Amino acid sequence: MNTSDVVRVSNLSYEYPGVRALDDISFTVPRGSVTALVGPNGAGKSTLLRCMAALDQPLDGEIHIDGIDVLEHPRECHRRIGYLSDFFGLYGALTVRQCLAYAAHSQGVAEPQVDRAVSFTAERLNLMAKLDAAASDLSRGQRQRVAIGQALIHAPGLLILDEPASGLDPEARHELATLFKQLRDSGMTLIVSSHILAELDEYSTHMLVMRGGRMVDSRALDSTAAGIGKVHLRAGFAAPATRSAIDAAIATLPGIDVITRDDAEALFTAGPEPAEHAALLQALVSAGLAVSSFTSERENLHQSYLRTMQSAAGDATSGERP
Amino acid sequence: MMNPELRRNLWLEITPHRLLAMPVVLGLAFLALSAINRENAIETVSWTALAGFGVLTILWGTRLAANSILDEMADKTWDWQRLSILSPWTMTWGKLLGATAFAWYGGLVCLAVFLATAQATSIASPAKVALIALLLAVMLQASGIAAALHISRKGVPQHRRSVGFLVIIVVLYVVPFVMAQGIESAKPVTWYGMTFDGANFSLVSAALFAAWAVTGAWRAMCQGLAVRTTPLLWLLFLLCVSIYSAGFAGIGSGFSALHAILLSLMLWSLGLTYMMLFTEPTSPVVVRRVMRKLDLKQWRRAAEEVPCWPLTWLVAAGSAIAFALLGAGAEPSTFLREWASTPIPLTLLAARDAGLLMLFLAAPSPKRAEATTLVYMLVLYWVLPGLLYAVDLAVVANLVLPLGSGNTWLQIPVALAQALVVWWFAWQRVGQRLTSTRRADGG
Repeated sequence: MNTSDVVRVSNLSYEYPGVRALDDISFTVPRGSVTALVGPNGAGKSTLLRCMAALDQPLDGEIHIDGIDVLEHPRECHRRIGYLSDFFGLYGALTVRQCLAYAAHSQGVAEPQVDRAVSFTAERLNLMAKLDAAASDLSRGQRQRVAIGQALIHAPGLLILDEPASGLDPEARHELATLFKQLRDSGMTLIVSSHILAELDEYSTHMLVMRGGRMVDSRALDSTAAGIGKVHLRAGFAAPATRSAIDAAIATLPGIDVITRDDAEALFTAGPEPAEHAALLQALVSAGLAVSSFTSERENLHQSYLRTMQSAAGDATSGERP
Repeated sequence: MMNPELRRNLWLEITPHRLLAMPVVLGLAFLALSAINRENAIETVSWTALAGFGVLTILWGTRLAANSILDEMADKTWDWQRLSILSPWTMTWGKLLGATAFAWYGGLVCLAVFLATAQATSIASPAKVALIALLLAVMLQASGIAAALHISRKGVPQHRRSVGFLVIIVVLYVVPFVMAQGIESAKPVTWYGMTFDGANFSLVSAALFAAWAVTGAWRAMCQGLAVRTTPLLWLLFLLCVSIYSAGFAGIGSGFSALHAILLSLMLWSLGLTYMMLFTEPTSPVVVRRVMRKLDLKQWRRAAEEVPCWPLTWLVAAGSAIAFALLGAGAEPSTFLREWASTPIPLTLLAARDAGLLMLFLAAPSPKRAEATTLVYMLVLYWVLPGLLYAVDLAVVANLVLPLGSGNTWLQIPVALAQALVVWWFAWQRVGQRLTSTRRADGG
């Protein structure tokens, strides 16, 4: 395990009766990164996160967090992680202060530091005004913040969040994104599973893509060497462009793929080199296509995810052929 | 530092209002009862206080203890507890004392009133009775926690009724028996041919089983908190309860203490095999887990993964064979000689029943596998043999239920054949399930 990796998962498999939810998954998560765990419903994201938090026992494989074997020493691992489930509950009869204090005590925060940890966490999560309110009296967004507070009150090195923004209004989501950026900047490693890719794009540095219980992609989002920094090139056409004409135009260009196309517009991926972009434009014009606009944009998480899923679907289809 | 789980429970359970209300309500109740029965006012208060202790700590307290687990699961706060760094022991006693704190508060008020007024009753040693009651409360509350944790491992918090049912059975059978022994101190208890004072015997018994119940709650908590444990403690408990129970058997005239222990071990392990079979998580996935660990030669991991019921069945089978071998050496025409081999077909039929459950659990959609197995067992043990006997087909009936035939040595091959056939089908189906496991997206 690279010392800069906080998580190392090797050959992890998990089964429910009749269903293999995780199938031989391996990946690492670098320290200080914010990793977006994305994939369609039923891909196995929540199961993976629960295994990492030692809440579910896998069939096979190993999980190391900070060098600790999670399956062998689950309680020791809990000192180092914070985990927020997608379906969490709070002790409704306790006040926010008591909820946070209980979390601090049960996570081993030393008695003299508990009050300070509660205040610091409440301030960080904008909960100071609600400290003496019962948890049952809070709004959905406030409850979410208390839950996140419980997960990070012991200042874990790794924070695992499963769909933390689900059910939140846009303002609360923005606050959450701001918090995650603060946590990232403070050196905490985050793994966030979410369907809302636009938000993940704001703060994620890495991406793990799951499909059908398998890890189909695992990479940094800002590393050219890892294939990130892929540029999207959008071409507009003054006259209808046929699909076959576009495909024929780029057929000889290495490293350029088409993501979407219709009569009026096509979206391509290419490397970051300007020469590649010029070659594409030239190929389109040479093919007789009436190019009326040609713009480049950085590939966002959503586009990257779609490209990965298309590629994974293509691999699966070709793999099924006899 | 104070136990965080205890502290959280005290925040919830103990409030100034409740601290004041409990003695006031109890005091008014005692006053009202003494006013109704003025002639024996003190005696009435004393018995009522003892009963009040039972209601508060044994009935209500046990319910609170079990709910301290079941409510966490229903309210989705159980994951927070599993994510804490609290050890299983800290969590166990934090819940045991914390969740029941208010019930204990009321119960101890009652116990104090009982001790202060017990001289008006016929109880010879009130302090021992109070101690027995206290230990029974601990035993049942810990059992409630253990049962809730154990049953919830199947992932179904709605089993809370099952927990309540189990607790009620234990309360109805154990409490009156042990308390009666304690109260009627003059009535001696014979155990392994030795005579003991009733109260002293009950006191030691209650202490022993309270300790086992707390140990059981701790082990169940280990499993709940994903802390690995082997079934060694379970096997020790089985041995302990068997040796304890065997002491009450009529020893003598060819039936030795060893006979009694083996028979007791067989009966307990057979009964507990069924209990664990229907309450432990058992499925082809569990089989695969154990086999995977065995493949990797991870013996300790395999022992941690293996459910308790197969081990319990092995103990039943081993003790049944040992009992039969001992019985074969008994005097001819004695009860022991004739019935010594009967436990063997019983254990083989238990293996068949386990195979039936596995067969249904490995079905493509294994819903209600336990209920289906119980229905099949009902048919195989009662309905079908009854019908066959009714139409004078006793020979066929003995093939279905090989316990009715007089020749016990014929019962064994029939029961063995049934077990082997059912397990062959079950294993085939488990194999199919394991090879046809599909990926999460159905691909």
